[in-house]
Amino acid sequence: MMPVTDDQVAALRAYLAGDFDTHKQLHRQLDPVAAGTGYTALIAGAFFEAVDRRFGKNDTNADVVEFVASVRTRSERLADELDAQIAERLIRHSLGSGSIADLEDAAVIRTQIILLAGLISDEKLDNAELDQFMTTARQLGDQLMR
Amino acid sequence: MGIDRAGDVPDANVETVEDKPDRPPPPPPDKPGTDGYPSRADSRSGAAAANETSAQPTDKTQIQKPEAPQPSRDTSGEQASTVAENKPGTFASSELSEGESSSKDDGVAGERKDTGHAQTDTYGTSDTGQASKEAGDLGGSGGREQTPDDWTTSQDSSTAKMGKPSTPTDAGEQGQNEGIRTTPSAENGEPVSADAPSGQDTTATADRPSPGLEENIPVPPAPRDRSDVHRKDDADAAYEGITPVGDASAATTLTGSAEDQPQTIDKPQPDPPDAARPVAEVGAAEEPATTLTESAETPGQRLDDQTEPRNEGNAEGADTAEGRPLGERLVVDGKPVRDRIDPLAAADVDAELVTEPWTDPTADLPPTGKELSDMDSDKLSRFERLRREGYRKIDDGLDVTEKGFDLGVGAFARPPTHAETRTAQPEVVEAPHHAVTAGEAASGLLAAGIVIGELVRWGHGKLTEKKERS
Repeated sequence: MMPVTDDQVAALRAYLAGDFDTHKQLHRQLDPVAAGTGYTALIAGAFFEAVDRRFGKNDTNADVVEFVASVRTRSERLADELDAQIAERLIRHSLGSGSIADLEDAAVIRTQIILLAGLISDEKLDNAELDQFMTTARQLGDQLMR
Repeated sequence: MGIDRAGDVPDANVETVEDKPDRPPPPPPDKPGTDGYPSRADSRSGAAAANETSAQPTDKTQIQKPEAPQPSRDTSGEQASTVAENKPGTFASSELSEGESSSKDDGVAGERKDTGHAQTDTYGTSDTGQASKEAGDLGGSGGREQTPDDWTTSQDSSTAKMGKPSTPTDAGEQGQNEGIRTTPSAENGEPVSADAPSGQDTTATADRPSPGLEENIPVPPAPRDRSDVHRKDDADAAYEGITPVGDASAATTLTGSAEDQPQTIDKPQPDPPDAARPVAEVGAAEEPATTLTESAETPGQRLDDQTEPRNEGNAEGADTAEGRPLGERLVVDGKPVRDRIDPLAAADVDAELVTEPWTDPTADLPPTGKELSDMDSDKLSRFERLRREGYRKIDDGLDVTEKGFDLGVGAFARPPTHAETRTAQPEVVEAPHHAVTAGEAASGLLAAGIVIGELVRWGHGKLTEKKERS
């Protein structure tokens, strides 16, 4: 199984940095086959790391619910398409509680991307911090694929 | 052990020997008073005469020994079997019967003595007067001079009686066993009469490989692959106590024959009464016999057996030799050799007695800092949960992620916290201009009228006063 590639890391970094045009360009250049494994692993690792940074120390259900609600209020589209229950289950599962085995793959990946964008937007990371975050996310992604 | 082997060997050897057609007929039964057939009393008297003459050394030439070369001391055990193979004709059936009958009655004591002393006579380099003793034995057993055939008869009869195979064996272990077992007294356990000195000798050597039988075997020594010189040195030192029976060389020869018979007897031989033994042989001759009978199965242990008499006293070794392993019997400086070689042997035994299951002594201790750190951050376990359920593999990864990224763009927008009014361009507000109002003018005019009225009143008062003065 192929590990996380540099192109996948670069595409996700551009998205989290707010450079959506670059992200779209890099996203089109990704290998579709590798994106089904490596890119999703990189997204899952980045989501896990972001949740751990945000809720790792003081993880309460109220904080999770408040965060999901804030994300949904950021745009009318998010309020319509983001399932709050799935979003909260994903966050709690990353914190060690609950199960998400019954969720569909597409819903899980899509929700992870939306929540990841909201978490990184709230963190207000600079370039160095974003690079460090992406390094950690890549390592976790590689471990998920082993 | 040796008995078991003997049991495995069929008794066909005995029958084979007896079935030899060229052998003389068996001797007639004991017929006292008949001419040509000595009675038991004659045998006893002949044995007594032989004992008396044996005390005086005789010339070596008195013995008519066969021309066979001097048997090697370490091949004596093989001789029993070798003779049976090389000289089958010497085993007369009549002599076999004679041997059997003689071993059952007391009159055979002289013949037994003959076998016992013949050992020293045969293997001794110098004659010790055993020839005269043999002459007496011969007289006791028939008054005739013993011939090589007669010598072989004694052994053959013993061998045939015990049902031992007389066929030779390689390296002679089995043959050596037979050499020891063929001792009539040892095998039958019959008490030997105390009044027969020759019988005492036989009893003393009962545990040994019937040396007398070997002496009578005029068989050339079989080729050996072992070093006789080396064994002789050990044997000389080990069996010095046997010298009263013969000279030193005889003892050495006995040792050599005994070396080749290590596995002969595992069971303790029935001890004859000490009263029937010469005092000199009780302590000296018994120890080598014990060593021989308890010889080890391997060559290395054989050497240990030979060194046993050096480390222990003869009497002590005789008492402790039975029923104990070799490592415990061998004592150096009052300590068993086993303990000296392997001091941890006792500890191993103690360790085996421990039946309680092993418990970790650190189980009750609090966890270390690293363990606490790992337990505090259960990130690893949570990550494993993510690996099992959170990581999904999909075929259309690009399409799914693309939709997610489109929705996620809205998540980057921060929600508004207060109302704002946006203007096209900034405006500068000018300072306001202040003017006199009607009220303010009326108030000023009023105040000025009052001040003027007062000034008029004050001036009119001044003028009035001056007029009045003036």
